[in-house]
Amino acid sequence: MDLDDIKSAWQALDARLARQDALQLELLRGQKQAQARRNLRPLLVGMLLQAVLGIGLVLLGVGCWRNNLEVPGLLAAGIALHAFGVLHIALAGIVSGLATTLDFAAPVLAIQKRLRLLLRIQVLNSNLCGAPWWVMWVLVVIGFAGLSPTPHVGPTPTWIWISLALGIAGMVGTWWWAARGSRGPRDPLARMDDGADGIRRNLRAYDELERFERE
Amino acid sequence: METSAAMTGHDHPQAFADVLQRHAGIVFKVANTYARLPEDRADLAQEIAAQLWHAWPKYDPARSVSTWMYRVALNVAISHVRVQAVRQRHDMVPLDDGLHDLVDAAAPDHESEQHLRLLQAFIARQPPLDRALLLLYLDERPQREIAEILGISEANVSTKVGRLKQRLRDEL
Repeated sequence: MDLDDIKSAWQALDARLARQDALQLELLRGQKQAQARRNLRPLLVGMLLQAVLGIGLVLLGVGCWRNNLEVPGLLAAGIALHAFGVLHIALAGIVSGLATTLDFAAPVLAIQKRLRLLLRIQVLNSNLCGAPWWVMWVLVVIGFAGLSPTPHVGPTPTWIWISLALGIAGMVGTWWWAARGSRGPRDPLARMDDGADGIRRNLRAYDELERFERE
Repeated sequence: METSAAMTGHDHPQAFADVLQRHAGIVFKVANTYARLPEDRADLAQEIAAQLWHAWPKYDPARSVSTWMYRVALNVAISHVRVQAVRQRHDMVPLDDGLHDLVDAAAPDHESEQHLRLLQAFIARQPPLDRALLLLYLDERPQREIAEILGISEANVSTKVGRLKQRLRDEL
């Protein structure tokens, strides 16, 4: 089959497609016009909730550290909550900004790179704002305790140390598992919990984009 | 030149409908290249039309309509195919399914039908970005336009098209 045959076959296919009733466009239907924006809605709602959570953490953190300038443990917990809240807000803003400014009329490779950046930041977001909750829930409890007008007197309760130790172990384990999954789509040690294939699919997309640019 | 510069009422829905009607072939071809099953193709064509409508207010009439349409359609289709890959993996759709509805077994010219079938199978085997290049090459778009659509240099297009032609000769 030479190139002329291939082009003839393509033209035949083109003509056949034009006749296909199944592909007739139902133009300008209200629901279809709105579809483009609706696709982004779940992501944007998720990021809005993350930003609201971040604001809550900032308020809790500021309340805690301002109330306990003389108590090192509570001061540190308040600052950590404040910083964690700012991180939630910043990453929610970055992900939303990248998603809402995607211009599908840009060149194909530019959009694919932008999508790759968005996916990388989402992975970073889940590792920085998700995994630390192994530990942060303890700090949230401490933060609420730090808002009390009557400060806690005495040594740090044992349950806090145990929870912090378990939380740090869980967080490090989660990061290790995530790092193991990012080795490559064909790596036999790539994550086994990727049931919907999302992570490996994204890794394949990275591979493919890099190969296309390189070749 | 394929522009809508002379078109009046750029923001009017009717102007968009006219442009889409005139260049509907681009939507059909991209949908066919990236979706195998008829209902999936129809969904993708709708999704492309929706994104074109969404992008229409920012379209610059001084630029080529076809370049703009190809960019939007290919970007939508490549994103779509990544999502569909998961569904097809779980549904276990055989590779050849979906190719048959466009191949007419009763057609008198069996050789042409065979060529069409081979071409469809070849397209389905290509990764999404290579499929975009293949589509633009088969559509005989100028290299300058292919470069603009894909966002790579003309020299790079030339190299890639050369390799693509070789692969077509080798595999078909």
